[in-house]
Amino acid sequence: MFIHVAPEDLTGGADSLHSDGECLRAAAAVLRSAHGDAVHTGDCAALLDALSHALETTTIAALTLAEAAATLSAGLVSAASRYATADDALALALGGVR
Amino acid sequence: MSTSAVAQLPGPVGDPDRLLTLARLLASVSADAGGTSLARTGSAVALPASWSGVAADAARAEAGALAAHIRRLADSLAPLARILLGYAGALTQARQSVALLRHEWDAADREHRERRNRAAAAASVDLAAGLSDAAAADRDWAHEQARLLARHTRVMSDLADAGRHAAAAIHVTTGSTFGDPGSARARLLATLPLTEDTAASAAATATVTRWLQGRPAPSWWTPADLAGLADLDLTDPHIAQALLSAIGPGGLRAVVGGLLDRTVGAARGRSAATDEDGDVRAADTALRALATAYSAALSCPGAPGSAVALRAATWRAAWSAGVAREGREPSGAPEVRPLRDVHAAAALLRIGHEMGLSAPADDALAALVPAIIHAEPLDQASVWREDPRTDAVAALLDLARDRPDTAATLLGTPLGTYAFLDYLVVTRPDAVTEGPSGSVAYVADVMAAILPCAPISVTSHLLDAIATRVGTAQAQVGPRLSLVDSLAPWRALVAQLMREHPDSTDAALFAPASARDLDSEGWSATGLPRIRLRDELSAARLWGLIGLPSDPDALTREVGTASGVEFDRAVQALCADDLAQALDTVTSDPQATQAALTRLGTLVGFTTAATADLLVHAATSQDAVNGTARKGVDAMLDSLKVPAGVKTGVPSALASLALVLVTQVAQSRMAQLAPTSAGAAAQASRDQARVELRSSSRALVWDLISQAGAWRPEDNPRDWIARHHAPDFLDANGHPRPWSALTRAQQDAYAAWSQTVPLYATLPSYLEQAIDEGRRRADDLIKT
Repeated sequence: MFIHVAPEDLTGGADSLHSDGECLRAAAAVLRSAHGDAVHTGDCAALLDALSHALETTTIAALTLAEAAATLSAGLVSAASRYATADDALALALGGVR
Repeated sequence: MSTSAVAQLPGPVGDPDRLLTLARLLASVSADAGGTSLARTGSAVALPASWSGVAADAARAEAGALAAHIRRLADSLAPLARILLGYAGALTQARQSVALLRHEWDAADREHRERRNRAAAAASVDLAAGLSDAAAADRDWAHEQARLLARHTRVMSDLADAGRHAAAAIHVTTGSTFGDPGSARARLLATLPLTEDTAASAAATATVTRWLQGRPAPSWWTPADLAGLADLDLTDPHIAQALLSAIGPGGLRAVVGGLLDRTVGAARGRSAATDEDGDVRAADTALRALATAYSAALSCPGAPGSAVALRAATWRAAWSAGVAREGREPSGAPEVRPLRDVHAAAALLRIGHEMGLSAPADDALAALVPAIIHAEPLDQASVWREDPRTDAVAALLDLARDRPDTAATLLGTPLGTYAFLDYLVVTRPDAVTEGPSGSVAYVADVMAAILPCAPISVTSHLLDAIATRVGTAQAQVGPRLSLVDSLAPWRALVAQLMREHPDSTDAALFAPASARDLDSEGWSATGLPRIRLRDELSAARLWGLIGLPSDPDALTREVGTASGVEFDRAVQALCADDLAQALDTVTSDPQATQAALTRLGTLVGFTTAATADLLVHAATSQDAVNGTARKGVDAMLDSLKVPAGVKTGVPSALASLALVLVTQVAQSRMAQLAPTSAGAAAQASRDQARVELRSSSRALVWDLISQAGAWRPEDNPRDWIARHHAPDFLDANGHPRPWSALTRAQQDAYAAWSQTVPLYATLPSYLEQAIDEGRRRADDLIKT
C-alpha cells in the first residue's frame, strides 16, 4: 500500500548501496593493512599512538558503514521482491531481515 | 661517515618512504569513500521520488544519515594523509640535517687530528709551542663537538615536536568524528536505527549459534544443556528471538513438554523423592528461563512505529506463522506426552505471569486464539486437560484481566469479529466441559473482572454473545439444568449491566437503528458509556436471563432469592426515568405523563414477557410431564416475590406489577403448552388475569398520581373524607397512602374519591395499553 514504484527502481537503489558497501569494505581492508604498515614507520610514540588509534577507529567506522549499506541494500531488495503487497514497507523498514 | 659520528649523532628512527606510502593509502581510501554514490549525492541510492510511506521515509532517513557518516569518514582521512605527509617531510629534513651534522663532525674530527699531528711535529722543534698547539686543537675539538651535539639535539627536538603536533592534529581530525575506537561502532549505529537493530540481531544469532554448537537437538537436551541457558541473557529480546528461531516452535514444544512432565508431580503437590528434587528444581529453573525468553522474544520494544518495533512485530508475525504451520503438522518429536504448541505457549505465559514478566505483545497472544479454538474441543481426552499450567484460555484471560487493550484485542480477535468472545460464551460451554477453565462460571468471573476496564464495545459484544448463548440453549432439547447451569453464571453480571445501563433496553425497543452498531461509541443520559444491544430479541433474551433462577429446585425453600432481587432492581432502574418524568409532569403536563407511562408500560410488558418465556422454557425443557413442569414454573415464580427491601409506594407497586405480569405470562404459556381444562375455566383464568393486570397497573399509576398530589384544590381528599365521613386513607401530607398499604375499607373510600379526579380514571388505561404492546412485541419475537 506504500510502494508505488517499479521493483527494478528499488533494485537499482539496492545495487548502488551494495556497491557503496563493497567500496567501504575494501577501504576498511586498506585501512587495516595500513595499520600494520604504520607500526613499522617507527616514529615518535605520540604519533604512533595517535595513528594507531585513528586507523583502528576509521577501520571500524568503514566496516560499520559498509554493514549499514548492506542492511539498507537488503531492505530494498526485500521490498522490491514483494512489490505491491501490503507489507512491503514493513519489510524494508526492518532492514531486510526477512 | 665515521662510526664515531654515527654513534655520537644518531639519526631519527623512521622511514619517510613508508610514511609517504601510508599517506598515499589514506588519500586513496579517502577518495574511494568520498567517491561512493551516497557520499557524492547524499542519497545516491536513487530512490524513486514516487515512493512514499513509512518505509520510504525510514529508508531515506537511514540513507541520509549513512551518507553523512561516509562523507565524514572520507573527510577525516584526507587531512590524516596530509598530516602524515607533513611529518614525513619533517623526518626527511631531520635525516638530512643529521647527515650534515655528521659530515661536519667528521670534518672537525679530521681537522682536530691534523692539528694534533702538526703540533706533535712542532713539539720536536719547540716543546712548549707544540704542547700549546695540541691543547688548542683539543679545546677547539671539544668545543665543536658540543656545538654539533647541541645542533643535533635541536634537530631531534624539532622532529619530536613535529611528531607531537602531528599526533595532536590526528586526534583533532578523527576524534571529533568517531572518538574512541571501541565506541565508534556503537555511536554510528545509534544514529542508524535500521542497522543498529539488525546488527544486534546478527550478533545475537552468532552468540546463540555458538551456544548451540555441540548440543543435540532440543528434544534431546540434557539437564546440563538446560542449565546452560543461564549463559545466555534471555532478557535481551535479540538473544531470546535468536534462541527461539534456532530451536523453532517444535523444539520449544518438545523442551517445554519434557520439562512439564518432569515437574508434573511437583505441580500437583506430590512429594518427590530426594534424588528427584534436584531434577525438579532444575526443570523448574529451565522453565523459568524459557518463560523469560518467550516474554522477551515476543515483547514489543521501541517506540510505536519505530524500526525496532516494526522489526519485532515482523519477527512475532513470522514466529506465530511458524507456530501455526507446525501446529498443522503431526509431531515427530520424541515427547513423553503429546503436547500442542498452545499448551507450551500457555505454560510459558502462565509462568511468566507468575514471575511478573512483561506480557507478550497483543498480536502474539491473539495469534494463539485460532489454535485454541481449534484444539481445545479436541483436547477433551488429552492428558493435559486437567493440568492448569497448560490451560491456554486461562493463560490469555489472566493476561487480559488488568490490561484493557489486551482484553479488547484478544476478545475481539480476529480483526474485531469477536470470534474468540463468541467462542468463549456461545460455543465453548457445549464443546468444552473439562479442565480448570472449562466452567461457564470461570469465564463469567473473568469477564466481570475485565469489563470495568475494557472498552465499552467489549461489554456490548459480551452481552450480544450471552444473548446468542441464551438462544442457543433455548434451541437445544436437553436437561433443564444444563440450561440453567450454562446461563446462570452470567445472570448477576447481566443484571448489573442492565441495571447500570437501562438506556440499552430503551434504545433497543425505541431506537433500534441507533442501537445496533455494537462498536459505536456514545454516552447515555446517566453519564455512562452507552452499551448497545443488537436488537429486541437480544434484549428479550437478556431480560429472560435476569429472571432465570440459579437453582430452580432450591427455590421452593427460599423466597426472594438473588434472581428476584436482581430482576426487581433491574426493572426499577429500567423504569426510573419514565417514572420520574411522570411524577414531574403529572400536575402540569398530562400528555408528557401519558407518553412516559406508555414507554414505561411497553418496557415492563416486554421485559416481563421475555422473562416469563425463558422461565417456562427452563421448566419445560426437560420434563415431558406437564405437571412437573408446572411445579417448576411455580417454584421459579416464587423466586420473583417482591423483595422485602423494596419500600412501599411507587417502587413496590412497580415490583408488584412486574411480578403479576411475569406470573400471568408464565401461566398463560403453560396453559397453552399443557391445557388442564378447556372452555369456561380457561376463560375464567384469562378474565382473572385481566383483572389482576388492571388492578396492578392502576395501583402503580394511582400511587404515582397520589405521590405527586395531582388534583385540583376543590378535589382535596381531606375535604372529601370529611364530607363523606369516609375512612381516612391519607398520609401526614394529605396525600393518599400507597394502595398496597390500605385496608379494604380505605381502598373503597380511596376508589370512590378518585372518581372525582379525572387523571385517576384516564392514566391507568394508557399504562395498560402500553403493557399489552410490550407483551405483544415480546410474543412476536418468540413466535418468529
